[in-house]
Amino acid sequence: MGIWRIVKDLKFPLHRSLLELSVSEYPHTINYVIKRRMQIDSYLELPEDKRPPRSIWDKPSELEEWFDRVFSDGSKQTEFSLPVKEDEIER
Amino acid sequence: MSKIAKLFRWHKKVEIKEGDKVLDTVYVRLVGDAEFQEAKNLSLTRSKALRIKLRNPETDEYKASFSDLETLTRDELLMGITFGEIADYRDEALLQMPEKEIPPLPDSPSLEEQENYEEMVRARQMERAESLTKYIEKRADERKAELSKIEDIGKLREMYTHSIINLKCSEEFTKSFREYQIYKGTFKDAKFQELAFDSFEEYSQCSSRLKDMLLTAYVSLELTGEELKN
Repeated sequence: MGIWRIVKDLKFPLHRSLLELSVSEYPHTINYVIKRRMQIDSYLELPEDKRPPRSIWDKPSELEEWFDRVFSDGSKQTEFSLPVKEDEIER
Repeated sequence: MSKIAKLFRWHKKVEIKEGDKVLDTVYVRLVGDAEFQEAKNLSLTRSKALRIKLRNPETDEYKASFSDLETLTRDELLMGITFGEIADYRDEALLQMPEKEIPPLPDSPSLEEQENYEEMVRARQMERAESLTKYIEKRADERKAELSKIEDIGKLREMYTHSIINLKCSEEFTKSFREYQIYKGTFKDAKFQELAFDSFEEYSQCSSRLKDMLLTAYVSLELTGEELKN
């Protein structure tokens, strides 16, 4: 984790062996680790009580349920209102 | 070698030898996301095609796999069914026993704390591997006991066929998935510009000895799913 953060913040090349490659040519293993790292970083940016537990990181449906639960106030939104000022409408 | 060092060891030079004589040199690298996805799509197509053939009693593939179906004993049928389902038990085990969260190292750990931490991580991994094996064995025994209550041998033959078809398709998927990646990951040059094989068919028709050499090289560059996640 430390290495990834340093590389990202300083915009260092990830590794000298990758210097001549475009990101689309990176080995799939390295791409996987980068995406995984970004996923974990995004969880760590959340307040502690909203971070999903590690046990569900690889379970998309449980993750979705988790985020629905921790980011909702318990009620489902059933209608939207779009404030429109009539005098501002172009005719 | 640490996992991070292994992650960046993603290519290697492979000398194709006959005894001590080097016949050719190729360069093997792990494929990128696009080729990885291509390999997956191709393998799914091949596995599906095989499944269709294996479900048709008129095909050579069916005859080659199930010509002895009528002569199999009850025990052989039970063994075959559970053998074909082992991958399912493994998936079930991974789901039932998710990896436990390992407590983080304290801030500014001493050398001794780091040593103990590494030892604890290794012990946890060993413990988990043993638990998974035990779960799979237990599940297979339970399944055999459950199946032994089925008296209708026709039903058992049907389950056996289903299980073996799943197993063979899974093997076909794995084989094609691996072979396509090796085809797309083997180059004539160290800059990975020119593929060593003109087509996947050409690669597929190579001698099994050459394929084994390339497979060994490719596999040595890979990390397992668990290694990549952690």
